[in-house]
Amino acid sequence: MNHAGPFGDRDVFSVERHEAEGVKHLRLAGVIDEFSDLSFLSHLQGDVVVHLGEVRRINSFGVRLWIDGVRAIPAECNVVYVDVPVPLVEQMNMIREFFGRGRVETFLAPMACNSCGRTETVRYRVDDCLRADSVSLESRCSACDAEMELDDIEEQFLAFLKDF
Amino acid sequence: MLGRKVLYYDSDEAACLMAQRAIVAAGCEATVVHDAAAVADLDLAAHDIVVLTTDEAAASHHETIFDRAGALFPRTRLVLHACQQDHQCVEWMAQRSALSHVIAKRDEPLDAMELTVTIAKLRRGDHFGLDKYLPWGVDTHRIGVRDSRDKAQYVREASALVNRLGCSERVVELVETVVDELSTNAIFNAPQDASGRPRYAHLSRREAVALEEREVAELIYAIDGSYFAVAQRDPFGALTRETVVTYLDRCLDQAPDQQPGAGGAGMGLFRAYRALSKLIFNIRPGVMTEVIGLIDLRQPIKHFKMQPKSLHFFVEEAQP
Repeated sequence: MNHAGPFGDRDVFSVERHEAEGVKHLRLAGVIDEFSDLSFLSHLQGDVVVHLGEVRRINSFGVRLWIDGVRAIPAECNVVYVDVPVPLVEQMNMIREFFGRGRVETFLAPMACNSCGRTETVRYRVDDCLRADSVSLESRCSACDAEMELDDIEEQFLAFLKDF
Repeated sequence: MLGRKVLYYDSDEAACLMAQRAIVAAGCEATVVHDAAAVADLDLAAHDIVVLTTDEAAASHHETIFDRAGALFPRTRLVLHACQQDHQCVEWMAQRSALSHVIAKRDEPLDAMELTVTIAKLRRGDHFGLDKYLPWGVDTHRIGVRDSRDKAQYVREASALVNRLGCSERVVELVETVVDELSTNAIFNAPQDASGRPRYAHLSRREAVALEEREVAELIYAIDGSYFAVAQRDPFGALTRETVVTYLDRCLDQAPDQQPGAGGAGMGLFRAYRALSKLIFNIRPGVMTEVIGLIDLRQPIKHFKMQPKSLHFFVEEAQP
């Protein structure tokens, strides 16, 4: 077998960088595993928005690398995480320091349609969830407009909100 | 090889009827009991396998039955048909070396096929093979696990099969997690040198490791429409029940970032366990280990996560 590199296309871990209105934006994608280079985290400066919506998966060694990377982010750096995907929400719920001093602004939740069975990933704002008297994620199915519900155990999936 | 006498307890009569059939199907004689107190009074030594449903009615008898069946091990084997969450069952396993089989009680009164397979494997001593968990005719796929640099390819090949079935992205992720962690285990944790010392476990998982021909593991996977099934077989037989139970018990107790060790074998195993509906270890000490995992594809993830998990250790006696 030829070693075709560690990843398939959608699994390739990548970091795209751009800057807008003085804020640095990093867009992470692919699978975070033992081959992912997260050394850039220790070089972050100023205000940084980290977009995580295209991270598909994280494996056990990736979790270790990520935690080490987040711990290495300079204290003066102000990091905001957006579109935290389901696999990372699950990690955040198990590991209190998964995002260190950073702030999670939005997360993606797996929603399932009660009517047609379609599943969709829907973005929610942490602030909106915290403002609500009781957190219950709501959305309508894009195919049949029926009500969708969280395809996960609510108290487990939303456990991270207690830390905010 | 064990004898044929199987004692089954469940307060649910529907489960008892299913169990009776499942036990007879495995070529055994069934004694089925609805009353937990009666089980505690029975002569367990007259049975080769005792299957105890850990329902509420039996709760006050658990310890007595565990102790009595444990004292008869290995002549008599104890199988739990468990209603409890995983942590409780793993804790029981950690506390009692004679307990090596948990069949999760899910929506159905009983997973009759799992009971038949478990009893048949115990009775015949024929433990290995993914085919025991699949209907005849299902196409199986095989990959030689040889090189850490090819791990993503192994993951991709298995997930391609699930993708072809139109499974959701989250199910694909579960499959990828299991194959990823099992392959890492086969490459870094399983291989031993001639004196039984781990060969690669000390290495960072970032190191390129190409297994020697005698070290090559095999990844076998299949889908029968209801389950994704995967087996990873290594030619070492170094894994022990105690190691696995200790890892799982510890991981269920604390956060993964508190796990020790450079490579994270315990955490990888724990992640695979969490991603599976059933996890089975077949171990021929010093010769071969087979880790089998099954993911129930029929349920929404929410339901999957609420269900308890089955966990089995079939350990052959060491050959002189």
